[in-house]
Amino acid sequence: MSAPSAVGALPAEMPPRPASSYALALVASLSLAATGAISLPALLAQATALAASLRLRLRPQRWQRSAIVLNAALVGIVLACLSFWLQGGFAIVAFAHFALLAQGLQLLDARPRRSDFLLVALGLFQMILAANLTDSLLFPLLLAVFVVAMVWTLVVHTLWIESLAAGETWSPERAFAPSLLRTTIAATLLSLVLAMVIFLVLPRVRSGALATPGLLATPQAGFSDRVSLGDLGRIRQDPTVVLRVETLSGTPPPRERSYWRGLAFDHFDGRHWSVTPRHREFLSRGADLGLDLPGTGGRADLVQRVLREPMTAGVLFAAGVPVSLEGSFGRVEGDRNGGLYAPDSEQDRVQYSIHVTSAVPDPSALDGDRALPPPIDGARYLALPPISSAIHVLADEIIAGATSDAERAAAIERHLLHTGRYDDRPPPEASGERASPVEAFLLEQTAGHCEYFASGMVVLARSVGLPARLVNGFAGGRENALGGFVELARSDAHAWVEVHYEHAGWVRYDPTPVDARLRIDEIGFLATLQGFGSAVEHWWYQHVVEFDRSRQMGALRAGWMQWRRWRAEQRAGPTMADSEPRERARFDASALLRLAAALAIVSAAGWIWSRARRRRLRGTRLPSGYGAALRLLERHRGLVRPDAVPAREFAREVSRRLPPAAAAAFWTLTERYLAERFGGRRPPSVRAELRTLRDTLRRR
Amino acid sequence: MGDPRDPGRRVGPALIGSPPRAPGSPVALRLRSFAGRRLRLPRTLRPTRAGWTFFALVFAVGFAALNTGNNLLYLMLSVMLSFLVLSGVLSEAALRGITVRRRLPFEWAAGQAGRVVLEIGNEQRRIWAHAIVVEDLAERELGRAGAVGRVLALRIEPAGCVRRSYSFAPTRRGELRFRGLRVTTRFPFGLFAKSLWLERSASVLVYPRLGPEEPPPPRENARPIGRDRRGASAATSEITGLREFAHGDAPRRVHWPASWRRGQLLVRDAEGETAGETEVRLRTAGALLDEHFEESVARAASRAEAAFRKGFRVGLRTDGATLEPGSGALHRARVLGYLALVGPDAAPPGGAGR
Repeated sequence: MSAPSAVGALPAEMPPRPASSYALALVASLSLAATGAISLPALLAQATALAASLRLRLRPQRWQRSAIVLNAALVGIVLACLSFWLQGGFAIVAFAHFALLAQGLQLLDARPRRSDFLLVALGLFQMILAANLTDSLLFPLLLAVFVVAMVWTLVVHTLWIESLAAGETWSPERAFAPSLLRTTIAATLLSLVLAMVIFLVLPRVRSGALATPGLLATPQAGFSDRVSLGDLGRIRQDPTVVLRVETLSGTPPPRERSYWRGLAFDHFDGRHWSVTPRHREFLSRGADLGLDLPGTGGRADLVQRVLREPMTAGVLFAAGVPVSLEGSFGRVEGDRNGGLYAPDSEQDRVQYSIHVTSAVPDPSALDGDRALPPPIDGARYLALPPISSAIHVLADEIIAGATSDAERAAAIERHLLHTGRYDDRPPPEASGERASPVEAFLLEQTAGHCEYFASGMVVLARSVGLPARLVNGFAGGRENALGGFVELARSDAHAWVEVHYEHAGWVRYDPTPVDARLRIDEIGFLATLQGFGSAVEHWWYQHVVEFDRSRQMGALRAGWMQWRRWRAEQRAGPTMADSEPRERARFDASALLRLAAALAIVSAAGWIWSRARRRRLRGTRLPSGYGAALRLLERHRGLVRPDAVPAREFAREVSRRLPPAAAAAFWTLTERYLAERFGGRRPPSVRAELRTLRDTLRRR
Repeated sequence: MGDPRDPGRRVGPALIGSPPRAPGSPVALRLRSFAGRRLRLPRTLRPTRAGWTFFALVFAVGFAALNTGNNLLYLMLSVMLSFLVLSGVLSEAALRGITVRRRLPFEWAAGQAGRVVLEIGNEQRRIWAHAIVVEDLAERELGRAGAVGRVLALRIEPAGCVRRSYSFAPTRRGELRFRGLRVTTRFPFGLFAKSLWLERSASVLVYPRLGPEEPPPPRENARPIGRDRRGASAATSEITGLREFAHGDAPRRVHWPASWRRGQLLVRDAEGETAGETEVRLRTAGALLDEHFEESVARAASRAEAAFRKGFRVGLRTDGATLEPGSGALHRARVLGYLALVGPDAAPPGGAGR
């Protein structure tokens, strides 16, 4: 009495892999490619392997069954990845290369196998690596496609392996049925919905047991504590979005007066601006639970949530004087000029809420105020680089007639606004004895971008004794009505000036012509599409990528409160007191009803259309197998069936001109076509006959 | 002991002597069977090799997600966990409502393959069942239950039924007890093998190994031996009565009017159509239950079978019991059934029972 073995002997000829395996491999490879971490040769190798395996799917070559060839290739892949790692590459990127190339090799492997799960596991591994290497919006789309391909591949794989274990001949035609397709679709949808639910409730803990460097993106340069004149001009050529700002409370200023302050620079050597002293003050280990910023003293009138891309030095931006800060980005530091840094987040995308004082002092209130440097170490705001005396003369000419410091500052600003010409290109190099490009800007050709205007104003202000500093940040931006936020690109980078008053503190002046520095709002379908894409991306970053513990708790709390309110309403019944919540509940219910009705209508329409189409096609459509056979005959032998010739007669005629195998296959196809067309019988699959016909015709 | 499939029924010559013991039916086996029935979980879940790999990946992603706080890793983890949950739900949907009926062969001899038919039904009204594997478990030589057959139903439609069969050749005579059926599915993802136990006890008597043997010589008063007379006309024979149809009876023996009246197949029991009378002898006293004894039992059964084929009335005599000569399918089943269960007698040759 011998027990049957769990898995039967391996068949000599393996059935071809299902098409979904190739889809799975392709999607996994695309996900890795989208991270930008994979080298071009590896991508090309994978693409070649994918194409070759697909082409040789039905007729594998001898080398595809050779263990020596395949193992040698695997060893080669391992060695290549090891050498990449040993040469200083990231281990995770080396792993990604290995997974990619090993999957390509696995696709080419046509040896008898008991399982195709390795292919799925490699695909899964690639997706996991991709999740670690990117946070692009492409990832969820590719993940959804991957889930579809994975479900189908695993289902087919399971049926195949069970057939193998039972010692049966694998026949896709026997295994696949509409029921299986329905089950697979349902499984896919269910898995996606379930994944969303699990994603929502999985506890968010960040242990950081094994520190790994961030590989998401290259930090945006140009916002470090030392910048050179001209840096900002280069940044402004780039349309990449850097900040997305949502106003949570308060009224933001109009677009032309919106400024997001980054760093303020006090020291100017004629070509470079820097923050002195370079030492930064440690403010907090983190701001997860909120951080009150020292030395501000004001009261916040604007609360904004900012999503910031990776940024050099981890600079944090604010639309005014920051009062408090909340976000998950580790250590917080500040410099002496009010600049805020989250140095741990230099290579990360971060989101934070910031409370600011955005009020601008009334110009009339400044008339009685004196422009004096801050009491502590304020002399640096009056320091000038070695400049020509002509600058002093120019400054005196500009402020002539001004009676107060505020008027003097305003006169300098006005002068630059009226006489300057905005140009994103830097001004020509200083000629002759000019030591600084700013001299050239002020004395020869007042044309340049915002950095020159701001630097020029600081130099002019300091030369007449007004304490001033240059501020870098963003201004303007573009409103995304769909997402309800303002997006600021690198091309919105801007520089302006702050002058210090005895009572009012630092007051902003912007000597750059407004109309030239602001981006022109694009209109049209493409712009709408871009806006939509940006809104979706913002949603993705906010609700998925940046879905942290506080948001999770908030969502769960909101759900719990909603449920409690609903329970209370159910128990209390309708009362006058809670008419408003009931209205809302009714609204929600009606919205749900509308949604359900719309879905029902769409489903019914789809069903009717599909049924009508089936009916319409039943009488007219040539069964696909027979149609494909006719096309093959026409393409390879030039045999066309005339309208008046009956199918059997055509088959008889064709049989004389074809090799026996092809003739027999075409005869079977004809009989099945007739059975379906005139017998009303649903024919079995004709895939095998079609394959025989095609292969025989190709061989000639 | 009467017909093993119908105990207590007395048709034809009665068996004289004590019934033989079934080889090996320990109390522990029954206890284990009882405990198994009581303590068995409704479903068992066993990860496959792919499932273990998947688990390893889940743990790795979980660790990476916790370590980095990367939400996309959390997303991957969620997708993978949803696969696990979905795997459980869909496999349960595939297993729920599965019924299996077993149809055993009429006759089974050791060493001869018999085909067992399993009718696998899906009682659910909407849900298809996919990749259903049914294993038939029987108690075997050592008293352990083992799978004697394994069939696969790739898909079963709602409220539908499929028939699958497997071939099984028992290696030894005696009572073969079928314990039950293990219904397993790896659907949908092949990560787990979820099993359901169906208690379907049955037993079948396996006749001794039947080989090519000559029948024993006829008794002296027997009529001359002719060719196999079972196929010959029974017109000259004397009808002695009617009895129930037994497997092996020729259809022409069926008495159709009586069968129609009774609602069951009845056959004519006839005298005088046999070729003669013979007796098969088997020494059981003092023998050991070893290979030699098994060989002698197999030889006795083969000789009896050959005698039945020749058309003899066959009797059986052991040291502990005697079976009077008889003919017909029912008597043949009685003789072979006795030989299927016979064991050595403690009494020495020539003792009681002769």
